[in-house]
Amino acid sequence: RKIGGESLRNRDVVNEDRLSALPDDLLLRILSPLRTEDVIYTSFLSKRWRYLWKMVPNLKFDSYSFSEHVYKSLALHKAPFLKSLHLKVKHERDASDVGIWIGVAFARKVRQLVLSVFFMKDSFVRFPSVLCSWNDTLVFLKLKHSILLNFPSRVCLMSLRKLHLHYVMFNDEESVCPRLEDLIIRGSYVDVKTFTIDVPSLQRLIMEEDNLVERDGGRYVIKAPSLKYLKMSGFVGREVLLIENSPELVEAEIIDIYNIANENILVFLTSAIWFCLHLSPLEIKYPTGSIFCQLVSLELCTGKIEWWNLLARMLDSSPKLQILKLIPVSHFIRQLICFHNGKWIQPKCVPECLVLHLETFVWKRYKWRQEDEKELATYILQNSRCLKKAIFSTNNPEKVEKLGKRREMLNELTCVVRASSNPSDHHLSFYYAVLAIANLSF
Amino acid sequence: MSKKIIFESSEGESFEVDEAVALECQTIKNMIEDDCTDGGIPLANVNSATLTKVIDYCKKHVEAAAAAEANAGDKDIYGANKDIELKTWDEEFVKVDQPLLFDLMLAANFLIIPGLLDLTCKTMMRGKTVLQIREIFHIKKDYTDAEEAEVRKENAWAFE
Repeated sequence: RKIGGESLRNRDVVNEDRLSALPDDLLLRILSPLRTEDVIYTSFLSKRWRYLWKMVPNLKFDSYSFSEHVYKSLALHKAPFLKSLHLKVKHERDASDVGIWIGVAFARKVRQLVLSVFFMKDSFVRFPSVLCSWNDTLVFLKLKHSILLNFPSRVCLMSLRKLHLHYVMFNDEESVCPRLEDLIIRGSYVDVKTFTIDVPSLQRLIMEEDNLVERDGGRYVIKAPSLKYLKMSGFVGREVLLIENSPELVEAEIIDIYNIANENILVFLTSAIWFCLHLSPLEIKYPTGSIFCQLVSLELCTGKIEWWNLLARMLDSSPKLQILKLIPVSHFIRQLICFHNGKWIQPKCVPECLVLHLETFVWKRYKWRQEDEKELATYILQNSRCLKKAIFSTNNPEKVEKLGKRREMLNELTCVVRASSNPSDHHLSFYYAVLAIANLSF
Repeated sequence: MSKKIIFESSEGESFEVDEAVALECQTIKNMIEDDCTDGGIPLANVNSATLTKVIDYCKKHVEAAAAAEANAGDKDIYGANKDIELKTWDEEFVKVDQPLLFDLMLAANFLIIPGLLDLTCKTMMRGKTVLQIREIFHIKKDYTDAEEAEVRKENAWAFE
């Protein structure tokens, strides 16, 4: 009897409208991630939902032409404050109103503003700079694509913590963002002679340029004493690229930086624990005398001219290195440079990190078309006394005979390790990519 | 050995978890700080099936945080990005039937697990039309024809 009663109750539960019974704050949370137009549709559901959409603190528009919808939504919006406004402008008809919408959003104390503009034609939207002369509510600002930022007067965004600029154009006299922690400038056109980032609060900085475009001149100066993470990528042909001391830096990725008359990119990154370098020692200045005392993990790209010399130097100046990872270039264009010129020369004495600390050695997509590469691998395996893990991986599906050759090579290397006086060689293992194993078994 | 916390589901079933896992729930964290967790924590409004999932979620996120911590210098060693991995795990985690998803959201709201609350709220209506929402959640239309026409008129600008 009891069981029957239960199931009856369960059936009621199954058909019960539990959603509409939720308190407003939970329903608003459920509606918040949706596009505003979809949120408005829910007013059809029942009386409970009729006015709910006006209270959703986020507004999000991305349809083809939405000018009227934005005006109406902003006018009818009744949430106590506007948490976020997302606008994805695709039609030029909408472009002229962007300034007004942002103005209203600022007046409603918007905290997050994301504006992206995708035009087929070569035109752009001008960001309303006058609004930025003073604002203390905006926390996150993200601007993407055809947007022109032109600030004739000083910019003061007092609460801004994150600023992300993707492929926008800007010329900036002076911006003051005293709380800025996170800055991304990606593929953007900066029309200033000297671009200075002077932000004491900045913790994360990502600057990426398109490395296929050679540029003339341009001076970059970065002063960010609280910086913890730095990624710089694709700076080519610039005149100056200077970084001031960043004693708190933990992670740095330095990718494709060359032909720069005056740079010091590696000099002040000496506190880093984790490094990823896609650089050729011929194209950057290697700091003499400085030592990466904290460095535990190093990723080095094997697609750069004389990369092995950079490796030798890094091994020499990183006494605590535990993890070494050699990785291929992520894109194919500059991949053809291998060991074609120059030669790996064994260091005169074995670097301290190999003797005392190196535990993990990874070579991703090893090729070994040249003896040098095998020599280098042999050298590291022979001299790393604390090595626990060595991984040689191949990602591409390969011909069986090629794989056979590679396996032979790995067997040879295993012998090298066995022969050397590695006290922990029983931990050592070689991995093939799964695909390689599958192919071999045929 | 780490301290254990015992949860009791609405069916009276006991679940023992590490304190670190329980701390993912703000509500429990407050209770632990106030030292009132002895003899187990009865969760009268969370059933066993939901509680199992909630504990899975908390465990995974505690493990992920610990792994990120331990591997601070060993980032991306197998070519897998931990962030993406956790996000993918989250996405799989909420592929459950609607009633369970709903219970999970209520539990996350009650226990104050912000990550799980966001995840479940985000998934609740995603990709569904109003017709589907009405059907899935059994929402009865209580508008008269005249009222519905009024709503249509009111919001006509958005439906064009």
